[in-house]
Amino acid sequence: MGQLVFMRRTPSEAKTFGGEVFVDIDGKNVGKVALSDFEVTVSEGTHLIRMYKSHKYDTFIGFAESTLNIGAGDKLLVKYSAPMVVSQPGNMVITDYDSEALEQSALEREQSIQRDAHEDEMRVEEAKQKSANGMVLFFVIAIVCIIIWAISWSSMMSSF
Amino acid sequence: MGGDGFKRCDGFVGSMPQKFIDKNFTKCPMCGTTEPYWTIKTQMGWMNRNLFKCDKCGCILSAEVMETSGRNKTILTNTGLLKALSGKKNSITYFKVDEVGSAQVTQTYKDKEMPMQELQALADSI
Repeated sequence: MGQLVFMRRTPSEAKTFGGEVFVDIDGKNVGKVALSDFEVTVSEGTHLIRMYKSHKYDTFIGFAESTLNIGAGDKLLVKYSAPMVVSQPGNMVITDYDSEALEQSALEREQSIQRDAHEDEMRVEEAKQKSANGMVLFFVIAIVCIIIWAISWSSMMSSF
Repeated sequence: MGGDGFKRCDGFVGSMPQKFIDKNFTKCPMCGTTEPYWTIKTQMGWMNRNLFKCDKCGCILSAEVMETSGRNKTILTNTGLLKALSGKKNSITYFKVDEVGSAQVTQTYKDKEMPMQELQALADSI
């Protein structure tokens, strides 16, 4: 018998991408990958692993599949990545199981998603702030121009 | 034309933003379709904006009217000066993603303002 360990979804991943991630082995659904690692024991031999995620309106997207030849005592780690666009396929990375590598991968994924989300938020905020600053500067320039014009106009009027 | 006010402007009225989007975005940056069949709407406000909707995924991109007409490329116009004071480059046309549409899995592009070239590169990558 062999064992497949499907890496858990991180909280940020679940929040950003939404939906649920499903696992099919040899055409049969064996479960979902949630916030904890999902382990499945499989018989020796060749197996077709298929992963996908649910989307809006009860549809499924991000299909990824791989054929694995599993020997006795094999323990493999499967990492699934959902796509950004519904028409794109998902991606699976399969490696030999290593508990430390698994923890490291999960941590890196969480940090990476958080970092990118933070950068996106900062970019939107920065653009808003720059726009507001530009508006203030614009009005300051406009008011200064009006004051200069008013002074020059009043001095011109007083000279008559 | 849908009930949301978006329509094609193939005639004279509204032809400038229509031609602009048709010419510059032959591929939708959100879904990647090569037939986006852009429809447009003008949003009145402090700064009038042109809204562009992809017929396939429903994403909405927007840009200031002065931006698509090219009058923001100089600081000699009020809006051009305002753009420069906002820290933007006058030579670059900026678009904002108002709605990501149905093809994007995440909302990461929502409300993001991006240079047109960046959005075009994104379209090419899909």
